[in-house]
Amino acid sequence: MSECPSRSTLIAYECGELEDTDARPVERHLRECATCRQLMSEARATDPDGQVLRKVFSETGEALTGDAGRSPAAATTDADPSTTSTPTPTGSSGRSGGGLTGPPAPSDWRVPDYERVQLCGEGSYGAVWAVRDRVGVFRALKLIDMDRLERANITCHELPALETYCRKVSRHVNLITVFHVGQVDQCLYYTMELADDQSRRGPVQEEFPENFRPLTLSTLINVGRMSVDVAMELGVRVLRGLARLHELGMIHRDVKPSNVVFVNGHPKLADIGVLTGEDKSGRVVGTPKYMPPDRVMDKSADTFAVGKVLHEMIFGKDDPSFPDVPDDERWIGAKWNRKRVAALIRRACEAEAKDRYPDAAMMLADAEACAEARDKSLFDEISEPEPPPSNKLPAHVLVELGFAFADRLPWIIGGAIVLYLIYKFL
Amino acid sequence: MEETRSSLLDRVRDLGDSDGWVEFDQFYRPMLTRYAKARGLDPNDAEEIAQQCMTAIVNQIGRFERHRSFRAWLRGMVDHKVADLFAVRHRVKLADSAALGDVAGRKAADGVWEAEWNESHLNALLTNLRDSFAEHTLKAFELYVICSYAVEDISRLLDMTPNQIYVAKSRVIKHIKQHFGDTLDGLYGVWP
Repeated sequence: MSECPSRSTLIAYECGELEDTDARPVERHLRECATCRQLMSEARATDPDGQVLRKVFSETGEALTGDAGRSPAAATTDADPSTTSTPTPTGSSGRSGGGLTGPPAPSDWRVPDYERVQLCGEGSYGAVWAVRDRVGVFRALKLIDMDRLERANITCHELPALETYCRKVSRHVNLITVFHVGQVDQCLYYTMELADDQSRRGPVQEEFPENFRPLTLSTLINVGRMSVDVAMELGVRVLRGLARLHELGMIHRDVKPSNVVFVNGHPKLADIGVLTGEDKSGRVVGTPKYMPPDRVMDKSADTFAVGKVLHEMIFGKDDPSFPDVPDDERWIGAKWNRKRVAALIRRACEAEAKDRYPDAAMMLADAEACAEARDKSLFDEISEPEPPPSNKLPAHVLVELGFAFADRLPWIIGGAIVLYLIYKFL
Repeated sequence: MEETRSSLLDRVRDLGDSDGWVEFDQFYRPMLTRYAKARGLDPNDAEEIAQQCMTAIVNQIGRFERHRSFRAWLRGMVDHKVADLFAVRHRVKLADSAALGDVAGRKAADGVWEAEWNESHLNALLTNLRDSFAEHTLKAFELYVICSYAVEDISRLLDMTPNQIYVAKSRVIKHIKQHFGDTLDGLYGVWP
């Protein structure tokens, strides 16, 4: 019989901390040594974690394992149990574990007509992928595992939000465009415009960059403080998108730098996951850091968030001066009217809803009024709203469909008057 | 890419994590509403209490000290809100409202709170484990830790080496402690 391993080796073995190669001699030894087996039994019996879990699991009448309720995709994410180096069960896919609902949507999904290109980001119940469509255009695709949400008893905000957004919002240069909503197996998915690439500072065209990362306002804020000129140009664009939502009776509820993405250089308000109609506002939803202190989640909460974002752009992330707007040297290169910009941010970030801008349109009007003294806009060339697509059918189609009369009615009436006048004078 | 985070409570303490907050709200709001109803409030008042609690949590979670029991903290908060509401309803001084809360069945509600807490968290734990681990890993954990089978028997049943069994059960335990340690505090009164 081989020499007994040390007590610490036995404990490490019982705790699953030994590699297979180190574990094999211990296994062989235990088959022969009653003393060491006894030590192992004692360690197992007195393990406090084991005692606690036995008690906890004995309270449920449900077996932990079995086919019921198991996600088929989950099995494929579990690492080989023979390895000891995987700290989280989903480690290889790079997911964020944690939370009560566990890892988000599966990574082995397939959506007809879209080819997976790269995982761009994950929340706890959704993942966003860069995909390529049938004609080679890159899009962003968000995937939500509805089955998992349902089993975890979590309501999906995304579907009602999408219904509201897609029905009401036509294209707007400062709002992300949703192209398609669908379902495959138990996953809800929708495709959107793909953000510009961080490193290229431009759109992804023919070749997908190896280390693509979406360009968001958060990226720019992390680089450093912006001049008031740049911050206001961006803020005005965000407000234009937000004003459109408010005008249509919707509240975004999660305005923050990482939800402002750049598409072809246009700042666009994205992530409509918790968007809601005015009638359903009030619930504390969103990102606490950008919520007003009174937690009144109406349109004024959206304008509060824009004010906070403006403050971050100008004074830096988590600047202790917030919500004050210090009149000091940190106003870099101000060509906008600093006093007005300061008043704008102060009012947007008032603690009580009644003192804040009631909606984005009011804030936008004030923001644009701050621009009196500015030079030519840095962004005017690229971010003027796109003209709405012409809805008028060509003349020959109108003639063929019998609309020609209505179209030409003014000319016919005019001609008749002219003929009448000629007749009268002759 | 988001970094790995340890628990929902940690994520809510990070005020920039909106997903964490949504998850937290959807998990705890129904529990708080059911508890408030059990304290004798009508559905509208119960929902109002839950809303007040969620608002208070957002404002105070940053100051919540990790060594404290989250369950006790939340229970204290909801009881306080219920007592306030009783005080308003019955137009009594705030100092007497705690007594009114007791009259309204605080002690009887202890059992409801325990049952709500245990059931909600246990279901979440089971769902999470089933979604996070392959079946053979969970089976090894279940047979070894919960059912106390001999490792040789499990080895034969599941066709795994003893070391694979130890690794599997350790991973599951580590996962439970990492992700559920703080929100499961006091589950069935046994969590250390």
